[in-house]
Amino acid sequence: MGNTKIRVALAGNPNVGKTTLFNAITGSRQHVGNWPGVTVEKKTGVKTYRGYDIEITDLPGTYSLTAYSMDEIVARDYIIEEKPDIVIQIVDASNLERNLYLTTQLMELETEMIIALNMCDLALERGDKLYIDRMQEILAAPIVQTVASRDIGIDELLDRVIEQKQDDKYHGREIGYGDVIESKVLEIEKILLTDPSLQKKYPLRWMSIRLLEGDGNVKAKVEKSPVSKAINQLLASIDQEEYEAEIADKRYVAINAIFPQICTRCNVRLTKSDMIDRVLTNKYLGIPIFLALMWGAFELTFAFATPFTDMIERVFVWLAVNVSSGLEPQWLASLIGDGIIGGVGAVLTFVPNIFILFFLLSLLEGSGYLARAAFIMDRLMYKIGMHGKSFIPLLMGFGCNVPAIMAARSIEDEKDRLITILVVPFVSCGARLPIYILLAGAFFGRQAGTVVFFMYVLGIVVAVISAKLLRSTIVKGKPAPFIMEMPPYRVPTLRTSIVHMWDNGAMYIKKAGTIILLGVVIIWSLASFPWGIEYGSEGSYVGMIGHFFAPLLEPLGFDWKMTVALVFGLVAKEIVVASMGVLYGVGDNPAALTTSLIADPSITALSALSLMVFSLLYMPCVATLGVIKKETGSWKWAIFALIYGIVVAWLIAFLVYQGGKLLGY
Amino acid sequence: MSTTDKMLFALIMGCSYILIGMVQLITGALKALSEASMTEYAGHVIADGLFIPPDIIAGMILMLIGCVFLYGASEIHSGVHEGVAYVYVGILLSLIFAGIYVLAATGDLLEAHLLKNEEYAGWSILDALRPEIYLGVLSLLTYLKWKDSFEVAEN
Amino acid sequence: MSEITLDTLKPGDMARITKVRVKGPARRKLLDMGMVAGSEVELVRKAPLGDPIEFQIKGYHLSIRKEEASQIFVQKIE
Ligand SMILES: Nc1nc2c(ncn2[C@@H]2O[C@H](COP(=O)(O)OP(=O)(O)O)[C@@H](O)[C@H]2O)c(=O)[nH]1
Repeated sequence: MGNTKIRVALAGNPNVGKTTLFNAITGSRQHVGNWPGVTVEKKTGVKTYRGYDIEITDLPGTYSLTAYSMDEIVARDYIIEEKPDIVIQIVDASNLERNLYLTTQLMELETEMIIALNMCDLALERGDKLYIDRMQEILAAPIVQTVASRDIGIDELLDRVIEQKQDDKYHGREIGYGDVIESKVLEIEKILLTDPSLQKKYPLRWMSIRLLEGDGNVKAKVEKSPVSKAINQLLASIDQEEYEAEIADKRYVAINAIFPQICTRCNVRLTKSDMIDRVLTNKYLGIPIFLALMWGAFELTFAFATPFTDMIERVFVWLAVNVSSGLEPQWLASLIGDGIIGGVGAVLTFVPNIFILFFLLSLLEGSGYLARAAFIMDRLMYKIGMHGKSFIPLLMGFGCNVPAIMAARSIEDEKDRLITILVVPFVSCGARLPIYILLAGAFFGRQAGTVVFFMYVLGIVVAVISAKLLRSTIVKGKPAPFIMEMPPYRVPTLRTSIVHMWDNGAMYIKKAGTIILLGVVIIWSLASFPWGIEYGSEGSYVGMIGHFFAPLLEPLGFDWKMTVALVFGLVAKEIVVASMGVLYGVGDNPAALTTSLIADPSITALSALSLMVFSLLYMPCVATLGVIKKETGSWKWAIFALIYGIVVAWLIAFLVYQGGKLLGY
Repeated sequence: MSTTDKMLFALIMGCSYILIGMVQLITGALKALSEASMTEYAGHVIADGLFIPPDIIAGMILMLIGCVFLYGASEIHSGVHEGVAYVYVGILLSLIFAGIYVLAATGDLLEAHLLKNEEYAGWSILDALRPEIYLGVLSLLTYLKWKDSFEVAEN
Repeated sequence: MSEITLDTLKPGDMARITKVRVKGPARRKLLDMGMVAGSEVELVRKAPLGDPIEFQIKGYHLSIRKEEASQIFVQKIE
């Protein structure tokens, strides 16, 4: 207690090792949340060092602070509104020119700044020479060389933070934009000076420059001030587009002037990274290799997760037997045994898969391959109204829709992300496979494989058509431009990947968990009441619901039992199989279930097919609905996904069933 | 390390991957078509001898890795120095897939010995051995030997 | 030297940017990423399906779609 607090913000371009550095400083003492009002992830952590509590906020990685995207607005607003004591900019030493562009903008925000020159190992290995003293002088900020992936330079960085805090002098520096722009800046500054309230809040020069560049966000800040009229008049008289280009240009001119003084770059003709890229984006081999790697990732996810899934299953079976057996009254035993333990257990069996998927995603991201995946697939995705970056989330959907939707975070554009989130649920996840296996196995014999394959294709087709449809109706417009850095390939660190896996996996368990629990309890109540009835039988509420909705689903070839199974499927789709077991009174004996399904006259091969189609499409499971809500920030889209799914599923299953009947099946 | 050595290595690896991949693909296809039991599809003698499980997709991937090696060999042969890039990535890919199957085998091992799952009864370490793994070991050894020469090649 | 657009270059070609005619938010982003008049760019490669295109600029690699590239004017450097 009583430690002095220092508030530090981490800023920097994407791919410079910001996450790695953040993890290296804070270790496990971190908290992941959201920035208020937006879906941008916010990470904070505390490090106690030499009697100080250093509170670190990880700002979103950005190339600039010009309000092009939500990330940039969040980063900028934090610095100017919250005024952290110190901003550490992480600079990639092997890519100084573009990194310094952000530095020039941070300078204008007039904050205390420290530069962490990361990836020094790569720069030095390549043969670059860095003149740190000169750099320190020119940029008027302390510079610390770091290698975040090997924990080098971390303590020195923290030492600088404390020194900077103790030393109150502000070390400012700015770049000049040439006479024409500078005279305009002066004019605007003069006008702004007449409103002291603005001046107190924001750096004057920064505001003037941003106004010249036509920054809508800053304009809005000025709008409420009495000076807004004069400002607007002045801005109307100039060509802002011209200024925008000119200012960016001048920043790079300034960097070009600095650069040769602080670094001599050693030009390697073909780096290891270039070598890898030549092959991985090769005209003929690029796509096959990409598909092979993705297939390998799935193979690994499922093969390696199986023992853990089994363990979780066993634990829950054991729990269900032992916990509920001694319990009184009986309804409580049933609620806990059949409802909570059974239902939650079914959903938790996906946790190993989800963890592994997140781990692999983090490896892909850290190695730089994720950017290549987007690069390779963008052409195709663009044609269906999506962005190259949407491909990986869609693909992950085959494993589980939940991490897939969370992976959509890497898509900056709001609309692109929304579309991706809304179509992911049509991608057939692992939990739907048991339904296909049961039904296709029972009714299609040797064609079973083909039928299952057809279900996967159908999912993709519906996703693609939905994307197109959404693009031309609710989420109008073209996909965002593809302007993407291809970072050099790097060896990802185990720690970053594990932290990523843990954070996201835990988020799934916490957020989705509460919703799942709620869903499970509701379903259990429906299946158990009126009390005394056999669990999930015809007389229970769920049975009644089944009967109630049966007429609606009759054109699809379903009877009340299938309807009930579908209701149960809301919790997790593979429960459909388990609940059919209950409804047919065979428990979880797959062979017996297959026989009784074949024996049931109300199910034909055609209605089985229709049932498969319907369970593929009809609605995301509760966990998926939960993350849709979380990732889009409102229930609106979760409900939309639900209704849209049901409508689409009904229509297609109707076509399949009635069409099949017309054809005489 | 001279580029000729790399070319020879790429040629050998390329051919082995493609041949073994073909066996795997064909046996996989035969098995799928004939619905015969695990051990009785045609050609199982060769396949078993080389620990090649019938598997269509894995076969295609082996052939793909082979193609990467051969592509590199042919580029080096025609004097394009950058061909070594394909050898390098070929090695990386073979290591990645070897790694995947080693981890998958670890999963099976846990099933068989820790969880004593009946489906995995009688599982032995030999069941885990497959071409991805032994070819991967070959790549690993070569990589360790040549590790630094890929950098020098840049000049 | 006549002006051509960025998308007409071939892999390995170098050029100097003369004018960025892209409109909208993409313009801002391109400027930020170093696509300003006077910058030297080299076309590194095209994606397997022909689009997007990867360039080397300011010492790093940037890829953009043909659509944007066709609105950036350059002068080829021999
Ligand atoms: N060689 C080297 N690699 C690093 C260093 N810092 C980070 N990396 C790697 O660079 C990659 C990107 O790092 P990450 O922290 O995800 O970057 P972010 O996008 O800025 O958060 C990861 O694979 C890291 O392991 C460093 O100082 N040296």
